[in-house]
Amino acid sequence: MELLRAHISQTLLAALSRAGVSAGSKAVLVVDGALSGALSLGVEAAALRSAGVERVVALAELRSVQHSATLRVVVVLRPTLKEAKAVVDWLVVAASLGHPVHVLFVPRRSLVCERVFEDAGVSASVVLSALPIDILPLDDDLLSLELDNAAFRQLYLEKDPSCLHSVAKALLKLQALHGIIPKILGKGTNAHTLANLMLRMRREVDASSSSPESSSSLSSPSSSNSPFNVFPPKMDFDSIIILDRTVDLVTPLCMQLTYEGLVDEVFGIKTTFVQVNESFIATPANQQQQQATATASTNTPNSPIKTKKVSLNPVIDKLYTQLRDLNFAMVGAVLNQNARRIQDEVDTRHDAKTISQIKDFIGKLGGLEGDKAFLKLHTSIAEEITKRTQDPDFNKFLELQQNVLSGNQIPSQLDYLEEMVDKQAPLLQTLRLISLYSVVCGGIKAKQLELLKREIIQTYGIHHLTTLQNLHSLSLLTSLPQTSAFDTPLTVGTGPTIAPLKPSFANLRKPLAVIVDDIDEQNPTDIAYVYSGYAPASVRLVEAATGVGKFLGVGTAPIKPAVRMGGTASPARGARKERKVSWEGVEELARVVPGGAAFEMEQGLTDPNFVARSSVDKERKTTLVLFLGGCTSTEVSSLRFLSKGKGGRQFVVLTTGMLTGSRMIDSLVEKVDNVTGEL
Amino acid sequence: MATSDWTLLHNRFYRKVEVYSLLWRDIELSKHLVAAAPLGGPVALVRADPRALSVQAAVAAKPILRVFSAAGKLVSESQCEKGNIVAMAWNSCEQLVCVLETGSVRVVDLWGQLVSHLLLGQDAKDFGVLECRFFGSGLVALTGNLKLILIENYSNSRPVLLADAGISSKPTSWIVVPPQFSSSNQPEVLLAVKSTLLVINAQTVIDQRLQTGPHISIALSPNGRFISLVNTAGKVSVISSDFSKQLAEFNTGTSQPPLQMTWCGSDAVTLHWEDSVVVVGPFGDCIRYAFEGVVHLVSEVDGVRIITNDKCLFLQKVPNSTDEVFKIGSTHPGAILYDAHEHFVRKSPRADENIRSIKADLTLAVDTCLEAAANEFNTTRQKALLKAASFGKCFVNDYDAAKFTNMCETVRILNAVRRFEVGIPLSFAQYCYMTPEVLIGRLAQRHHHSLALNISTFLKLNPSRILVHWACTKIKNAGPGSDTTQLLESIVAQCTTHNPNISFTQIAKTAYQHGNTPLAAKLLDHEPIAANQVPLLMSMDQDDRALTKAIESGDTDLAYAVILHIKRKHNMAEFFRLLKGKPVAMALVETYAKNHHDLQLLKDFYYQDDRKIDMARVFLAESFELKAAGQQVNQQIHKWKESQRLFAESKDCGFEVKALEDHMKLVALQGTLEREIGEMFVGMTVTETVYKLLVLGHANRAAKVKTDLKVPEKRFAWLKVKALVEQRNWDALDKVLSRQIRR
Repeated sequence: MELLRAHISQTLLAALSRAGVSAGSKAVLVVDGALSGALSLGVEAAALRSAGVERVVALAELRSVQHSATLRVVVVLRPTLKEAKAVVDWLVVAASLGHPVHVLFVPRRSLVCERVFEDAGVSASVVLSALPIDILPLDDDLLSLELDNAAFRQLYLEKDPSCLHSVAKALLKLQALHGIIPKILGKGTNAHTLANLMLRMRREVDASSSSPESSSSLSSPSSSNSPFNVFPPKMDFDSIIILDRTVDLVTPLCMQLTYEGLVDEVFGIKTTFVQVNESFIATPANQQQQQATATASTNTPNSPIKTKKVSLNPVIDKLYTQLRDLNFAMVGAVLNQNARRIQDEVDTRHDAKTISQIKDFIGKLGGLEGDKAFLKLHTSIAEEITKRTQDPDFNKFLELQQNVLSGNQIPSQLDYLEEMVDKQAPLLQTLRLISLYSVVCGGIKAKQLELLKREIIQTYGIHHLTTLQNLHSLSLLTSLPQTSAFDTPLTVGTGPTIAPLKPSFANLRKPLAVIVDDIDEQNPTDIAYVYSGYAPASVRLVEAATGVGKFLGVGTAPIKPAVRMGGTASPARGARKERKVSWEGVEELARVVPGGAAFEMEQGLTDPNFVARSSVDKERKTTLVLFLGGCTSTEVSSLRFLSKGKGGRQFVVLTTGMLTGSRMIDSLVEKVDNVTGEL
Repeated sequence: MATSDWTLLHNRFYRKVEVYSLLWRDIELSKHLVAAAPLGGPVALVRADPRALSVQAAVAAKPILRVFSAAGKLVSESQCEKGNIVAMAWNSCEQLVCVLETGSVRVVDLWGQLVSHLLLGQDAKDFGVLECRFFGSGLVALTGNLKLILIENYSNSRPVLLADAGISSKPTSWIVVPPQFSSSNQPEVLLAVKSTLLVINAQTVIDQRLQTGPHISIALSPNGRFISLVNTAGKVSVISSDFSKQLAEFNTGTSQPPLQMTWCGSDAVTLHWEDSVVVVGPFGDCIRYAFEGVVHLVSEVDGVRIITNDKCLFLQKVPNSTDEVFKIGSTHPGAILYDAHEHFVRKSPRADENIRSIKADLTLAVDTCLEAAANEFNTTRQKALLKAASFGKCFVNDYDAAKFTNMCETVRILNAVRRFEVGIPLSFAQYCYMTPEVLIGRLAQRHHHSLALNISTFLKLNPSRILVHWACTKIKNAGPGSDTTQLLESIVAQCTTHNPNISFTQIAKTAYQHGNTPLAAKLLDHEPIAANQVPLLMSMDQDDRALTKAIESGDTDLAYAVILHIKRKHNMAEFFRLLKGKPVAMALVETYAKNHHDLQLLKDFYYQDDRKIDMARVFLAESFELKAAGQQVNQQIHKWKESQRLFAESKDCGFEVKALEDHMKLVALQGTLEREIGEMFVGMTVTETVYKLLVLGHANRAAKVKTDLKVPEKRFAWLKVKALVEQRNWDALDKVLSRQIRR
């Protein structure tokens, strides 16, 4: 991922210099709040300073920037209407003095936004260009486009494929850095569209790299052409699995039980940054800590409790690396261990007798201080989360979740859902749990559903009529079919009609073995530890396609159906050494999973001779898992767990954004401004 | 003998090679305005009407412009615009620039087709253009009122007036220094005024305070480092271009101004008087060549091309490698190797002896022979040199064979373009300077597409540019009556066999510009990049296909561009008709309308698509906006009713109808409550209303709301408890709870 990081900083610095910012120039960089995290991941503040950026201002504080003749202003923003309008409003006030303002759209320009500038008549004083930063390496094995949750709504509710184009572009860039990914697996209509788009774009890249820029440059010197060397001859990823989020809507709806998952649920992680109470941060902050916070310390002035942004950057924060994938039950123990270790190390000062021993200790001191600060941060966060997990509502939620998932349906569950509405519980929590219930059970009985819906409308407001319809059109809230089981439930997409088993959660529960009863949270043996007994169906599907985890040795080689469909598949290793990434042998499994048809494609490498070489010299193969519409941090943790396990396969996640159930539901909630009576 | 045409100038040999015997007949250069492009470029001729002739005659006749290849083969003949051509020259793209006295500048291609047309501005128009000087991409004109006008780039610049030199009479001579050679990085003019030189750019005039003038001729060397000057006394002097050093001096012995002065490479200055060409070396010596009549000199990077009435010659300093091999008495390893090979052919044992004597320097010897081969115009000698190199190569253990094969390739390419049918007399140095890509481009421009393609395949370069150019040319020349299908087939077949990924946009654009829209449309179908198809399709009024292609490209921004274009262009009905059957486009219109808050568009859109539920939702959304805008409830109710009606007309919307019904009931109730109690209720949900009533102690009214809107008992109980807590009415709370428990 170093390649990517370097690429980001190069792109940004190049864009700055194009905007006339050079070392020593007094430039102001105005950054869209949603992008500040993204930029700080790629470029260090020091690098910006040496490039000539005097200060960085959040877009929200644009008004404070006084445009003057000598000042160079560079605005970095997303191509959305609202942001563009904010800049235009400022431009109209700030007279067109001096240098034109450079506006960089991330990751690309948009016609609709450019019109905003044109219509306001400020085109003359701005230079619009694109800053193609799209994929952000949140971690070595986690890439995100950080398209916030809007991507989910756009793709599945509004059927607006705009973000597929960005994803395809990002994939092309990734391949330009890491080599062509020859094998493409996917499930879902959007996944299919994306795969085709990506293949098409590759053809286009091949074509444009071989086409003349313009005929006028035909005979004058300096017309360069660099044919066919866009994609390097390497293969860092041998396969990609593209999944529509609708393949598995259950997983995000469930309450995540890993540390990172809970931090995200409780605090909300935004591009590795998290807003916490200021008291969580050790005051004699060490240097690393300062670096982490200094990059973006935008205080929200209205909040009564002083909060601060901290980076949960696994590169700096080693403790976080230890903690994030653990089941929350284990976090206390690990924190304790660390506390003790630090204490022990601090205590070594008493043993330091000789000068050199003392010197040794002093040398370690800085590191210890850092460790201490991180320990304090995570202990405080963990405490805050514990407060939440001890809340009876939370436990009710969990109880219902576990029961529903494992198929224990009892009438009182519906009563509880009703009770939540009656108690005016937070809307998102309520809808999340109701949706979970509906999706897992395949629907709610028509009469009860109507009652529930009426309760929701009466309690949360009439405008949620639309919200409920949105949930319905995503099959998150449906009524149970009243006729026999032969009837196709509403959840079915455009799957094949001859399938004997309909894609539904009930039908995938067993073959995918999503429920695992005995979970060792301390030394997990299965990915189900992330939900204390439920294995994310999405990741199970990846296991099945790649033959790892529960599906070690299953697939590709024709295996008898009995074995194939067995809940706990017997590892028929040795049957075939080389496990290809494929749906072959697990088609039946892929079919019971909802979300559209599964497909498989291949694309040729740039250098055909390369295949033979690479398959020999590389032992550990890497699969890119792409979630269209976001993925949860538990899914990332699960895939990390698989990377460490048997099967010799590494996984890297690429997602449109990090998702939690609440954020997913929130993207579907109808928002009405100035609605009175929000409780 | 290789050295028979060599002449010594101080310590270096110069050679004059006859390249072509010209194909043209009966041309007298002295009666023509001549422009010849460097790097083996074409020669343009316009019959110069002697100025003395009657003005009417000059104005009446449109001059004929003829373009010849360097071998004298007629390329094109065309009529110029009416008017007196002051000067013409080729620009760096091998396009001919003609400047008329009236200040009109016409840029035409090899075939006489107008590429662009510029005007030099008012000064030129009013006072006329006296003289012009050109550089690679632009020109400077001297007008009748002694102003200097600069055009920096023919394609995209307006004329700029240079700083006023403040002169009262025409300068005795002047030149332009191209931007790449000037100290200010912009074009500069050197003006010989009185005894000195003025350096002028757009802002400043600097007097160099020379004493050697008045100068009647100035020339800048091809590498831009030296300037040669001739003064009225007939003295030639060479100075460095920053005016810091005087480098050479030579007395021509005549005060007659030379007809032409150019540089021969950057080593010597060539002067031309009628019947003679004199080469002046850096040490004040000279060679005098006799010519009959007037010739034309073209300065090249490594020499000077001399065009006479019947010949094309190339005069250059003998290249080092050639010098080393062929110089009489040379003991250079290269010469010895060449000698050895000659002995080897004659089966003489001296061959072995020779090889032994240069054993240590064999690599150098082979390299020298190879380079000499490339520098040679004579094919027999090329062969002999290559054979010698090949021979010598055998004695070197690990000689890099690629060097040898590359040089053979180069020699073949040079020979191919030098053939008189093609007529590009390139020397090896010129070929290296211009690069093969540019050569290929120029070949394509001269319609030698097949040769260009062969060379490009030979060098493993991308053939796309040539193919596109070829196809465009084919379309341009096809004429109106030609068979479209045949044209299409031949173009597609040719292009795709050579490059399956070739972009057809440019070709299609050409077809469209030449009025062949059906062909353009068909060509576009073969375009691999969807995004490239769209703009052209839009300009061809093929909106439907443009939209389809834009969607295909996956680039929604492009799709938006088409959608907005269509929306602006057509009426609503047509707009929606075009959207039909394109779910992505429809989704985009929906998103656009929502983002831009164009509710009317949204409603029209849903209406024509009969999407009642969505329409109902728009009305719903509108009602909330009314509330946000502080509008009266009545208007909201209107919207709700509309919404309800639409829900009622759709399937499976019983719940929505009921919910709206209830809601309107609620609002009515709230209105009554507000009047009765004097508290705000409108805008609250049912639950909130009940709760507020309970908190305010209106238990009966709360119960009424409960029954009217069928609030379940359970929720009512919750609200009651909550309200009691809010009221801190612990006694009542205790009662309620104990009753609950008892139950």
